[in-house]
Amino acid sequence: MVVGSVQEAIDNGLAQDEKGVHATRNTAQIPTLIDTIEKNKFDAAMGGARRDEEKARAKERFFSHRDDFGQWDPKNQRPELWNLFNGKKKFGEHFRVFPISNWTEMDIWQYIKKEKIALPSLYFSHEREVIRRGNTILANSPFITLKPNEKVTKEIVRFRTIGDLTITGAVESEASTLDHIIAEVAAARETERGNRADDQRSEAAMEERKKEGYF
Amino acid sequence: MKGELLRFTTAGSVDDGKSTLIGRLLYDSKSIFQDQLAAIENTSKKKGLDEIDFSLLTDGLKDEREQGITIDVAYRYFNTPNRKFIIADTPGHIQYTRNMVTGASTANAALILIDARNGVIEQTKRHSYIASLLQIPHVLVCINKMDLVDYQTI
Repeated sequence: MVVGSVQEAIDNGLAQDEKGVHATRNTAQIPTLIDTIEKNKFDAAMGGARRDEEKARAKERFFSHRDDFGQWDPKNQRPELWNLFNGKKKFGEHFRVFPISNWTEMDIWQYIKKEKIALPSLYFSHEREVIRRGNTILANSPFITLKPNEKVTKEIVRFRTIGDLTITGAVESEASTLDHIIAEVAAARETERGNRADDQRSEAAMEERKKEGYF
Repeated sequence: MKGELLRFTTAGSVDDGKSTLIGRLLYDSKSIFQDQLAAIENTSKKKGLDEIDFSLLTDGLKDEREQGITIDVAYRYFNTPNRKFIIADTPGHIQYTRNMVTGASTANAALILIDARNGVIEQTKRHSYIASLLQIPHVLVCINKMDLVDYQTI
């Protein structure tokens, strides 16, 4: 298995750790990913990103072209008719391929239930030390810097989406089984990634990162 | 019928109201999440608008939002108790026709919008022709912006 490591990328000077209260390694994934693709001369990298997750992801092709620098040009995407995919590329370019583009959050959970797929416990409700910051419930960890007025409390939460520990918000939830989660998703009034601080950095946070090479 | 998937696309010329119609449809069917609605309310206010600009729901790219146009097709998903829907909201500009075709190629139905002030114009015809070329089984014509031409209900 090929593993690209953010820690190694930082140690090698390819990526930098951010500073300050909101520091996260989320963007450090970008040079790490591009470097790993380049080193291994991968033609394509498959990912589980879905169009229903976020407004820039809603614009993605199934077979999405990346230039020599790993960059996405959302204003100049290739036509993609029916299920015909254009795999033509120049040396050094690659594709990001999103086979489940058209799945929704609900489709994912129903599939997991149907296929009886085992999941990490983070997706189910559990008691955890958390910090409330803005509208987000962040997990307490050694990697988080508390602001002066912030307190660590214990709450019953689960994660609807899982990313970097420092930017993934939990949701208050008692859902401890798949059926319970499916009912919760069906009644949800907030988006799945609404608690992701990485998406909140600016209105176009996801688009900007995707242009640079983020998944 | 239960759980059957319907995929539909918008079509028609620039500024005929394709993205706004989709945004409004999602709003009326309560398919917009609270945080999404708050985000577009906020952006609409920043743009100095008194009302929510529903086109912001599908115009997800920075340039689209700044210029008030659709550049590439956006996909949106919603359910009713009986059906699942995938909407492809496509651009009206001639130079982005390839993106309209991309969205239209997988659609079972096309909504062709017409601005009542302008009637059937070049892009209306081009998109209608493309819908026919792709053999989209159902085509709906929607006349929009009737309030701007002194419409009356008789």
